[in-house]
Amino acid sequence: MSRRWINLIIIGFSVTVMQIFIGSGLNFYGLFNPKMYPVFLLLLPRNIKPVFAMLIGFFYGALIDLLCNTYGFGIAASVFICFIKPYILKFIYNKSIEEESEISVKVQGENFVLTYLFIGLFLFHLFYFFIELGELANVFYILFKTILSTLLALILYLIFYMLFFSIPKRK
Amino acid sequence: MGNVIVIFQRVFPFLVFILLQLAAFYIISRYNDYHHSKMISRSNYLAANINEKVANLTSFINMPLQNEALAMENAKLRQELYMTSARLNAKIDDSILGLYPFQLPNSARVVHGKIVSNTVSQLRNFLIVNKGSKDGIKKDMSVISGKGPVGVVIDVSENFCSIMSILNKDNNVSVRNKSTLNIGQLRWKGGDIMVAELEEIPKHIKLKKGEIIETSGYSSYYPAGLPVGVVEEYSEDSKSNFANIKVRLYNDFTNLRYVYLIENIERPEIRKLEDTIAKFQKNSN
Repeated sequence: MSRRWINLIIIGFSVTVMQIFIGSGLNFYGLFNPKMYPVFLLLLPRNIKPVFAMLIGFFYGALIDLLCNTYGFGIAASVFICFIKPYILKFIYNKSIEEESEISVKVQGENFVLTYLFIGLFLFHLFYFFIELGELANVFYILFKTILSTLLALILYLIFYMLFFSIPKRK
Repeated sequence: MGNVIVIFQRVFPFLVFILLQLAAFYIISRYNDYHHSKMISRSNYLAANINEKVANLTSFINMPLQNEALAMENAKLRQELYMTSARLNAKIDDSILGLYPFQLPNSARVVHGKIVSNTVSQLRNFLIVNKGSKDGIKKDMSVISGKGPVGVVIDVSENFCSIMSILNKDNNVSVRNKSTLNIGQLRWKGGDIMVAELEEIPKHIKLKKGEIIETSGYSSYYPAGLPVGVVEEYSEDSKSNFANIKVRLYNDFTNLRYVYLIENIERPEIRKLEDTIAKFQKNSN
């Protein structure tokens, strides 16, 4: 197994544990509800077939749902993020899948990965909170909550990343 | 024919996406309904065990704080004991008016439990407590803490039970104000976990800020006279006959650790009568 897969599995395991013990406990007037686990799905290599990626999202979301008592919400949002992922990359990145399949700080640099994770996490939270509410209402409240939760999730992930991985110099 | 296959190959990921979303929505609708929540504690068994280990550790660290709270509660209970015995000696029975604070029905049974898992960040929050069918816990028992109502038992496994918290969009509590005993419904609608909304209080009843809200005892879940919170905001709306009232809860769900589970043995009897009334209402419509 190559090093990048080991890295990905370490990240997946860590964000799952972080989500269960840190993410689900945070609450500030109902505004912060960060979800770190989609980071794993967002960092999956690009050359995985979309259908297969969605199946990974489905089972990973089901695992998170079992552990966090959020029945079905995690599945719906995870499948959504796996579906939308290629479109985000098409929008902000112009290299083809054959050229570069891996998404990591080493290949694209920290600026790109941060932007990409921000957009991905933002869409994930937005979808999740609307599904959780069950109707299309309180748009500004949900948007506000989404932005705050996205930023917090990103900061928590960055803290984790800086603790366990060294950030390499640009080539 | 070739075109059709090409189009199908293009659309296939989207079809799979729709299919998986439908599965997810099925799971959401199934598991987030009060009546279908039976599976929660079963599939939660693993998570509950891990959570219990973590809860054990944190409860050890928080022991001094908890000790103080327990001592305070003991003192309160002792005071109530004195009051009750004094009342019994004087042979006064005033339970019809419900004027005495926090009366348990004669037929109630109380079990204490420790919370092993608790969420506050969702719109529909649940708790898991380390008492189950082994300790005589049954479905529909009410759960209170020293500071007010906590929720209702919705499912029981052998060692654990899951509780629908009052911080749940689908849960409501029948309450009254302490001075004039007007009945209303307390409902939490998301957002701040310390603030819930009091509904069905008509506009002609002007509640002052700081007035105490307590349980009414009408829902046959919670005993009457249990303090819930204080009125924080009172406003009127010209469109509706009812006032908009916000209530600040006494219970802080983020540091809740010990709860009391109460079984009202008369409840099935009351429930039966309520069902009969519902049937008559249905027939007359």
